Amino acid sequence: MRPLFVTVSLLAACAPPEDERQALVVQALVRADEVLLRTRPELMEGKFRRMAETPTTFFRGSLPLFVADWEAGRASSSGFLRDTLPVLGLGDPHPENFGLLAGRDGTFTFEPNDFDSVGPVPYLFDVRRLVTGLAVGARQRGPQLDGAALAYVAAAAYADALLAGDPPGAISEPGDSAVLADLFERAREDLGARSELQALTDGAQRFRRGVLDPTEPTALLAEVHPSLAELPAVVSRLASEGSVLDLVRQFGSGVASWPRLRFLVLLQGPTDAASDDVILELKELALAPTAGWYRPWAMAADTPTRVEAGLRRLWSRPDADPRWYTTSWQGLPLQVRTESEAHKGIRVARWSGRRGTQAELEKLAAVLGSVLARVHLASDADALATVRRQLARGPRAFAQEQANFAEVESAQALVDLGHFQRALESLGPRLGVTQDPRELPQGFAREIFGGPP
Amino acid sequence: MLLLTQVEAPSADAGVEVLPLPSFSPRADAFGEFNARFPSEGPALPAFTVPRVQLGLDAAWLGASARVLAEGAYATNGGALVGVQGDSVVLRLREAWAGYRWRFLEARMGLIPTLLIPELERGFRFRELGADGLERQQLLAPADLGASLRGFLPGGHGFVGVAVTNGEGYTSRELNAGKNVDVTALVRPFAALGLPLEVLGVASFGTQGVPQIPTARAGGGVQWSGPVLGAGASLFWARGLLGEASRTGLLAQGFVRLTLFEHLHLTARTQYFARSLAQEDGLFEGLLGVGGGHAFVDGFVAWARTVPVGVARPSVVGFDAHEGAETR
Repeated sequence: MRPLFVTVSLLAACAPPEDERQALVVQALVRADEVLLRTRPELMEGKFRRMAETPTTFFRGSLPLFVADWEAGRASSSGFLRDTLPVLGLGDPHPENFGLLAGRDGTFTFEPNDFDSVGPVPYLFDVRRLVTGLAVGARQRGPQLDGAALAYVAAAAYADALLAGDPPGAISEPGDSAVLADLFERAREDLGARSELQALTDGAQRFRRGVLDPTEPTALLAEVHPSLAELPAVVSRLASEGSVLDLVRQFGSGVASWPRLRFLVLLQGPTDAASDDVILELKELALAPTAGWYRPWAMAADTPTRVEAGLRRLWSRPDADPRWYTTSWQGLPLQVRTESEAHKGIRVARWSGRRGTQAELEKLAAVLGSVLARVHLASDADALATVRRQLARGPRAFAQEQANFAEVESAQALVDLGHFQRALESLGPRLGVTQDPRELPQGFAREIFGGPP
Repeated sequence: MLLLTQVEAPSADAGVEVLPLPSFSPRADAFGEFNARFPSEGPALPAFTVPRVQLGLDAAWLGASARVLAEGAYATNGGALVGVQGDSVVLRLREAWAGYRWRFLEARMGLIPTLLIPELERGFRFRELGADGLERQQLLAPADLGASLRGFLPGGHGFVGVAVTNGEGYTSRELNAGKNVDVTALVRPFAALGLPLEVLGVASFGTQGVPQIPTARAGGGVQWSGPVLGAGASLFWARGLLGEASRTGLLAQGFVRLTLFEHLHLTARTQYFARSLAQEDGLFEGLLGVGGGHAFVDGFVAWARTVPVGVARPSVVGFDAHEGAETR
């Protein structure tokens, strides 16, 4: 225990003073999104507002800060990292990046559902994003939860599964987890009811426009610009699914990807009836904050190739969502996937009642740890051998180190959220990046990168 | 390949002053390489690359001078505004300035080269093999938006200069109201004897980014910048690193180069950057190169080894590598 205690103490000792920390938070977030702050200021304001809402939304949107902490040595100090080769990882496996996907046969599997940051990473980077995300979620839900214990369970499950080389196969049933049972139950209900069609189209073969949920004014659909007439061509790969009936711009989804372009495409189903139509989400992709770590050509030449190669290798079955692929449109990397209310994801906000007990969340942590191990086991054998050598030195000590890390880092995340909120107050909604109207894109580009109408 | 044209003194003819014509000198540099990279953390990555292409034009007329220099470089940080992915080549200005020299004073304004790094690069001569440590570790920028004033010492004994710049370098916009001030000196104590010994030094104070993180750099070195033999060593102290105002570090670097038979170049360089003085946390880089040149083409075979040590080992991901490159 003593060496582990020393490790965590070292982390605290390396932390910069408070006022410096606020500067570092601002610097990391501005540097990561500087181009978007200049070209899409309204959308970036929306992202920062969303990040400031809860510890979890801040954690989800602050991956660049975690990367900065890693590069400075604050998040990478460990007794279990030496001489390990990079694995093919998710890059940001916080708990809300996992959920259910419906396959071609209508069955569900529990999978990673966000590949924006997929790529080669140190295995421990992924593990620490997961365990810290669990601990941040626990802190958000209240003092009755022990985030360090959740982190310990997740890290232990990860180590055990990776050392055994025998991770869980496709998770198509909830088992004894109340959280997963809730996901599966609601997903099956929504799959049968086609809830997304009712919510987004009101029964007609056309999307509803305007604010759909008055309680969440950011959830807004609007008419697309006429220049987007060519956009449906990007779904030509799904031509067998049916013709395009409608297309709208979507605002207000995600956290980190809040300012990215999103569209919804309504496809004709097998019949003329509205009840079997299909909705696709088109989302702009971007470079991962870790993109420079192993040189861009280490995994793929461009972002769409990186993301699609990642998801095909990391799902438990290649068609976990048969309509999920990547493409590009006018130079913008795009991801296409099924938009379905049945694709339920883990949400910290639903960690309540029976689903929010320590015991239930430890079951969830174990599942997430083992699924992350399964993801990493898709890496090449040489890399896995180096990881196993480290884990074999003491799987329980490894889990304890990650628990200690999560305890410290999740507390830091809450402090950083305070810094971030104060920075928004003092520097303004764009964190002090001054806007020169001459720099804004003009014409079509301005309209498409502007805020909600 | 810079062609400088000296301005002829105007001749007087029957009381009519004939002004010289302005001179223009184009310049073009293209660096292409086959880079065989053998990271300690992953598979080998042999690849043909064109890391940088520069095209420019120098102009001079009487005491006035100007330069526009554009470069195409890989965008590794998504620097383009619209519709370009990260692994693309972006075209951007490297220098764009106008200046005037009056007697021993020279002023420049615009996107100017900073005062120290170009002198260090001139001493090393083989910039295409790897940037100077000050640029590589982002301690100082090689060019920035601002203005500079240099006072030249008599007899070619060097200069003392001051530059006031935005401080974010030439690859980023200005993000704060603070300006960087660099005071630089280069002295050639034996210029009268024709000996190319140079003593250089810089003190730089400024801020970084929106939160105006204060930065300070100071240091210097000595170099022998002869056409056949070159060698140098320098040491710089830096405060305000990795986004932390209180973090201090040190950069130490040295090089030697030798040109044999007019066109055979041999060079070796080492750099060590201590990212923190509070703990073991550094990056070591060694470089060996053999090259030859004919007319306007230079070729090199180089081996480079980068090793992070201490805290940097797990933190500075992907830099532990052997690298072999042929550069032209």
